[in-house]
Amino acid sequence: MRKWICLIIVALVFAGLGQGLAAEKPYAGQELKISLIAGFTTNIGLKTLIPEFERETGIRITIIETGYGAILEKNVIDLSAQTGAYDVLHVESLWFAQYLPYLYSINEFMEDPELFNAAEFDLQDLTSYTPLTLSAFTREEKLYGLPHLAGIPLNWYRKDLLEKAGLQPPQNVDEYYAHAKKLTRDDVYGVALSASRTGLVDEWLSFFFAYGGALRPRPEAFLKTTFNNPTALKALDLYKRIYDEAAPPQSLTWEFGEVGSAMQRGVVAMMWNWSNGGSWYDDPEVSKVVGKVGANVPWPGRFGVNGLCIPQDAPNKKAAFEFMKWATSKDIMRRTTLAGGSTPCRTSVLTDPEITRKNWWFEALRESGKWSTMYLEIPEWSSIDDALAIEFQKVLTAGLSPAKALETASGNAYKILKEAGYFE
Amino acid sequence: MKIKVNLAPYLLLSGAVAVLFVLTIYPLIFSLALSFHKWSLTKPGPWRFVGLLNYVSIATNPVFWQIILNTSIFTFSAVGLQFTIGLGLALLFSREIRGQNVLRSIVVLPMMVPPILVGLIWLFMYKRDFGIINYMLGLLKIEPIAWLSKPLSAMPAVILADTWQWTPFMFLLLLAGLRSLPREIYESSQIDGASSWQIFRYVSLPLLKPIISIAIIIRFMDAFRVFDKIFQLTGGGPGVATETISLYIYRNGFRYFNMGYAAALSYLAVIMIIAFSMIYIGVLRRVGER
Repeated sequence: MRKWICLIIVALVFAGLGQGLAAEKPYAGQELKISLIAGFTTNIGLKTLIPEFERETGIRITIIETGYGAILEKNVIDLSAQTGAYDVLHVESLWFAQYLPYLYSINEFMEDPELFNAAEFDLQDLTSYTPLTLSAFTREEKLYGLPHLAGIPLNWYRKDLLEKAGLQPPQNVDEYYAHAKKLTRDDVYGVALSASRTGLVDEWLSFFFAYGGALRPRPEAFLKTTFNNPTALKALDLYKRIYDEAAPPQSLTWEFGEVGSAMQRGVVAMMWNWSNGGSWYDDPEVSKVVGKVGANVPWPGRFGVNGLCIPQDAPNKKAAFEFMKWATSKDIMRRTTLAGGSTPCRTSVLTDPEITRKNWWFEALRESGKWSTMYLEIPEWSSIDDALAIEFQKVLTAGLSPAKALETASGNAYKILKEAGYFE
Repeated sequence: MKIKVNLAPYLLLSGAVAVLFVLTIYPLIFSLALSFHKWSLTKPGPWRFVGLLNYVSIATNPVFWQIILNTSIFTFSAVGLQFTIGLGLALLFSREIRGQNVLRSIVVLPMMVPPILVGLIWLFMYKRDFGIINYMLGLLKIEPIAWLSKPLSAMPAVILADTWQWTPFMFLLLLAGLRSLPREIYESSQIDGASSWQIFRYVSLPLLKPIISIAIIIRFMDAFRVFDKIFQLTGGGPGVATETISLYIYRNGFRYFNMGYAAALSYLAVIMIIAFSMIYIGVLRRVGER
C-alpha cells in the first residue's frame, strides 16, 4: 500500500513538472518558417542568435532568404495561393500596401498581457526615433507588423578629398552639386548616383523634397501636376546636371550596392546612399577608404523601415508573434547591431555608447530620423515609380527634355491612379 | 447487332490527355478569361469583367509599341546573326578538319550554360570599370564604354550575349542538315564545273531549306520570348531601350500584380508569334513553288 502511495506521489510530481515546463514553453515543438530579405546586415546578425531563441522556446526556426529583387513576387504569389508557406514575413515598408490583404493584425496579441509586456517591449523606444516606425505598418488603427530594421539615405563623403579641396560637407543639394563638380578630377568622380530604373526615383525624390516639394497625403488628392511643377523640374534639372558633369556614366545601371562599391573602391567623392551599408566603408577586407568616410544629413530621405509581419494563413500565429517580439526587442536589436547590423530602429540602440563608438554614422542616422519621410503606401506605388523612372532615364540618355519627361511621367502616374479607381 | 468498341487506346491516351489538359489547355482557357477581367493580386476582391478594355489599354500605350519594336529588333538581329555565323561554322565543319571533335565541343559549350548565368557572365564582361571587354579596348588605347548605360549600345550588347549563347544551336542543326545531304549531288556539280559559291548557292542552300526554316522558326520563337538575359543585363533599361515583351509581361504581372493586363499582353504576344510563323511559312512555300 505504501509503495502504491509513493508511486502516485512521484507520478503527480512529474506531472506537475511537465505542466510547469509546458507553461514555460507553450509553443515547444512548433516550427516557424521565416521569410527574410537576403543581404541585410541585421538579418545576418539575427541568424546568429536564432539558436538561443530555439533553446529558450523549443520552437524550431527555418529561415528562407530571398534576394531583394525577387522576394516581393515570390511571397505575394505564395500568399495568394494560401499555402501557409510562411509564419513570419520580412516586409519592406515600400511594399506594405501590396502585402496588406494577406497580413494578420497583431492587435489581439498586443492587447493580451500574457502575450505582450508593453513596459518591457517599450514602444516609445521605437516611436521616439520616428513615429513612422509603427505608423508604416498601421492601417485603420490596426497594427500589422513590428519594425526590426530601418535605413535612411545619408550623404556619405570622403573626408580627405573634401579637406584637400577646402570644402565642408554640403548642407543642401545645390552645394552637393557644386562640390561634386569641384571634386570630379583625375580618376575620381564627384558623386555616384543610383540612376538605375529601380533606384533613380528614390534619389530624385530626395532632391524634390530638398527643394521643398511634397507628395499629396492621399492618392485621391493627386493631380496631373503632382510630379509636374517647378520644384519637380528644378530637381530633375539638377539630377541631369549631376549625371552629365559629376557622375560616372555607368551610374545608370547602379543601385545601392554598386554605389556603395564605388565608394569602397575610392572612385567617387560623395554619394547619397542608404545607411545599411555603413559598415562596408570601414571593412579593410573590401574597402580602400577605411577611416576616410564621413556622413551628414543635408536633406530628407525616405524612411526605409522593414518590419516582421504575420501572414493570415500562417499556421502558428502565436508562436510567430513570440518570434517577432523577440527579434524586435531591445536586447536582441542591440545584440544584432553589435553583431554587425547597421540599421536599428530603437533610440536606445542608436544612442548606445558601445554601439555608436563603432557605428559612427549613427549620429547622422538619428538626426535623419527626425525629418525622414515616407511615400504613399498604396499598391500602385511600384507602377508609379516605374512610370517616372522610364521618362527620367530618357532625360539622362536619350536627350528628352526634363519638362517633357515630367509632363509625360506625371500624366502616366495620374492615369495609373485613375485606372485604379482613386478618383471615382 | 452488337458493336464492339475497343476502349484500350482511349484508356491509354486518357492519362496523357489529362496531363495536357491540366498543364496546357486549362491554363490557356483560364488566362484567356482573365485577360477580359481586371484582377490584382494585391487588392482583395473577385475578378471584374472589363471586356476588351485591357487590350485597348495596351494598344493605346506608347510604351507597348516601343517594346514591340525592341522585341522585333532583338529577335530579327539576333536570329539573323546566329543564322549567318551558325551557317558559316557549319560549312567549315562540314569538311574534314583536324581536331574537329574537340573544336565542335568547344563551339557548343555556350549552349550548355543556363541563360541567367550567361546574363551574369556578360554583365561582368560589360562592366565599364573592370570588365574584360573594356580592358581589351584599353590595350588598343580606346576609351572604356559604358555598354549597358547607353540606349545605342545596350541593345547590341544584349544581342551579342544572346548570339554567343545560341549560335551553337544553329550550327548544330545546320551541320546535321549539311551532313545529311547526298554526296552524289556535290560530286556531279563538281564534275559539271560548278564553283564553290555556285554549289553553295544552287545546291546546298535549296536542299537545306527545310532545316533552315525549322531552325529559324525555333530560334525566332525563343528569341521573341527572351527574358533571363535582359533581366540580368539591363533590366529593360536604360529607360525601356532593351525592354522586350516577356520582361514587360513579367513587370505587369509580378511587379504591379495586374494579372488581367498581363494575361492580355501574353495573348497578344502569342498572336504575334503565330502570325509571324504563318507569314514565314507562307513566304517559304511561295518561294519553294517558284
